[in-house]
Amino acid sequence: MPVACRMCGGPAVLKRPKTGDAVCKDCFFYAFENEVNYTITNGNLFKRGDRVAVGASGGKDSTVLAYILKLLNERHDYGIELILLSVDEGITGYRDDSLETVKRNQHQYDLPLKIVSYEDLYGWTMDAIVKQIGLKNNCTFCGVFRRQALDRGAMLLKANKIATGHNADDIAETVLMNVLRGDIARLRRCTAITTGAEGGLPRCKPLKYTYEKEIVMYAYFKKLDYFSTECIYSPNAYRGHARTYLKDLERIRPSSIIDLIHSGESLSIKKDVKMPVQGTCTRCGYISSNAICKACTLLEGLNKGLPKLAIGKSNKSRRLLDAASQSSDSTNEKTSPKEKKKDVTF
Amino acid sequence: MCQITSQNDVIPKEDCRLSIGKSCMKCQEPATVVARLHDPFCSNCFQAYFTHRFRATFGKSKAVRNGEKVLIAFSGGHSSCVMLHLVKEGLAEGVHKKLRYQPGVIYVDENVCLEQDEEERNAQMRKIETWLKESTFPAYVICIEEVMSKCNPGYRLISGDQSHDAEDGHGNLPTENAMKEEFKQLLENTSSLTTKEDLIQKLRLKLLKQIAKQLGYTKIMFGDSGTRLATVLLGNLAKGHGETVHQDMSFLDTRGEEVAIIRPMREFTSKEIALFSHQCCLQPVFIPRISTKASRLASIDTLTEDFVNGLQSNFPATVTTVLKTGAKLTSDEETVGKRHTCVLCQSPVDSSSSASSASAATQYSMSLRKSGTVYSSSSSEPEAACEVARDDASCCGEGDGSCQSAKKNEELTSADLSVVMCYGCRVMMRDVKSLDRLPNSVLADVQRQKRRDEMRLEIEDFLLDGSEEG
Repeated sequence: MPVACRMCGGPAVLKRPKTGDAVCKDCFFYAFENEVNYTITNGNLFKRGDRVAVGASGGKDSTVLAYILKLLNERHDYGIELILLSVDEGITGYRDDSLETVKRNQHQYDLPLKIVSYEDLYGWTMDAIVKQIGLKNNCTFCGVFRRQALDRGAMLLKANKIATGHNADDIAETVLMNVLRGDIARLRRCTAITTGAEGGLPRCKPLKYTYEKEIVMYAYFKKLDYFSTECIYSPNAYRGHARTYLKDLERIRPSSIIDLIHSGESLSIKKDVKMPVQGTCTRCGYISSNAICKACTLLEGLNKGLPKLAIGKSNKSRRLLDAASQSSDSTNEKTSPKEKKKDVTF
Repeated sequence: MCQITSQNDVIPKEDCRLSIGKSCMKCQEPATVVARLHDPFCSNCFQAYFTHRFRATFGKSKAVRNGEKVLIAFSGGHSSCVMLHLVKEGLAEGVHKKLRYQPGVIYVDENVCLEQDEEERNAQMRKIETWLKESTFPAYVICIEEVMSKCNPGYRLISGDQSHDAEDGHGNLPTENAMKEEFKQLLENTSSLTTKEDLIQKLRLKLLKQIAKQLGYTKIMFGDSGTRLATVLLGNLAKGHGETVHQDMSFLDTRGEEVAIIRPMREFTSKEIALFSHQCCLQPVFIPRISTKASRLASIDTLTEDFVNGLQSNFPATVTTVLKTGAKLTSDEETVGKRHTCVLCQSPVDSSSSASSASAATQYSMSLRKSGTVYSSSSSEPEAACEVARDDASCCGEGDGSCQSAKKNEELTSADLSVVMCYGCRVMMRDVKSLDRLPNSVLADVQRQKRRDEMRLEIEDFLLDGSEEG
């Protein structure tokens, strides 16, 4: 005997990971879409006339995000303009394939697409970086560079907002990670639904309260076309621990994910705790806690052939890099065109 | 930022070789233990270091006043044995800088939570009582089911001060058995191990505070180790108790009016405590708990414990980092005085001020349950959403109307819950089938809170802004 849909009484086909309710396909779509709409309207994510760059990787989150933003924009008349924005990290066998998906999405959803590449922005592909640094720590480069790359791409598109596909699981995991790493500044920021208003472009996360499982479910039942391969360079052991813990929590109590976000949202930082002051990078003008931002430091390390230096503490690597630049002028000369290029772009 | 992810220098590979054959960092004698990350100590210096650190914890905080009555919560485990041992040593005659508070010690008997072999249990109780008697402090044993008591909870005096003897127990077995039954019923009506553990923990704390107040103690001392507290912190984050995690792990926890909690063992990892316990030849008593022998995935607590221990063995800075993070957090001070306190955990009840929040999103999800497949915008009104969500929270999840118990009995509806319980405790209550099985003291608190709210509503127009009487 089929289970009855909790919402309409018809035959249910799935159990919602978020609430545990058995629902039918249509009711699931209805709930899923309305929840995202609720998040968007109550969080005041968009204003009429906004030009929104949707971070599109070809993965499930961004595919669903692009699809649902287009759908809701039409249904509820947000009056926003959507553009897909992809970052090409230059990872053969991973990003080139997923970009194909994005290109298909461009036609399916009839949205313009812009691709910016690490190679154009920084003069390095991830493949080249991994050749230099090996499989360890390469995610640091990729993560730091992507943050800027999205902003730069969005500015090229003259967008005034960026929407990313971070889902509830991602946010909960970040809360955990920041507690485990003692990163109090990020712990405070990471649950905000819109971030980076000062400095870069404001970024928002319309899927913030949407469970990853439900996103997969939505994509599955809507037969959305997405790319689901793990990055070939990705294994980040420590984050993996946090992720496993979170998945196990969800198994024990499905509401854990949202409960963790609630916890993150209700944390306050003691007034006497010293927080890093956010300023701008003296080289590229991008938002930074130090005089020179992490991306510039990492890039300089790469260009000087000392890529490992900049992985650790920025200040320490700064000193070492400065020392290195004084001693070896030849390497400096070789890399200067790239540096110049960077200054021009931003 | 932190180097955990990026460098392997946190755990030097030659770690094992490092410590063998090292000499004590204090006196150059051959070292027998490695404390903290890699500090070799001989056993004498280790004990001195350990004791000093324990006492320094009190010194730093200045939380305990001279002559204050402090109740030591003793569970029989390593940590509380060490704690009791250290307090006893500190009070011994001739000790340099004698401790200046008046301790008492209490053991909470939780046998009602599990069906245990009578003989086994008697053997355990004998060991516990030996510990209590040897402490030379006034010692009490109290049963967890006393929390169901309608009047003052009864306890058993093991040794010491007889002045409170008159209050000793109810003296009649039927009441005790009835309370036992009630407590069992409460647990049986709780569907998950996570919630069972939390309920026991919260009710134990409530009971301890009650009894401490009754006996004139102003502080309760818990033996939670740093490792344990890091686990509690992460676990509580996952249970939605985010706002008060800093109090769960701080040395001094002042939630609740009269009785505060202190946690002097927080400076030590469980490894250091075990080392110390071993060196002093202490004999901890093993008492099975409801989660003993449970699998990793049995509850949030068992999972978190496994997670923290796993991380700690690979990244030895885990516990300290988590605790330091916790120490930088606080409650939202501006509103904290204006909000109700949760009847279960005495944390401030979360204000649902922000429209864009996890709790609002959850409530909205719940409200969608009832609205069916009509694309209307009316259901998105937050007010309506809240109402529905509250109704649903009272439901046992059967969804077929079989859960009317809470509503029939006008004592406690779940609409009340959102006013008198914090987010985390409300999440917990979803696993409890009928709310009126909660202890009378909790239900009475709910009623009191409700009445005060009604009173406040009546006189609201005449209250000036900034009046903080909740």
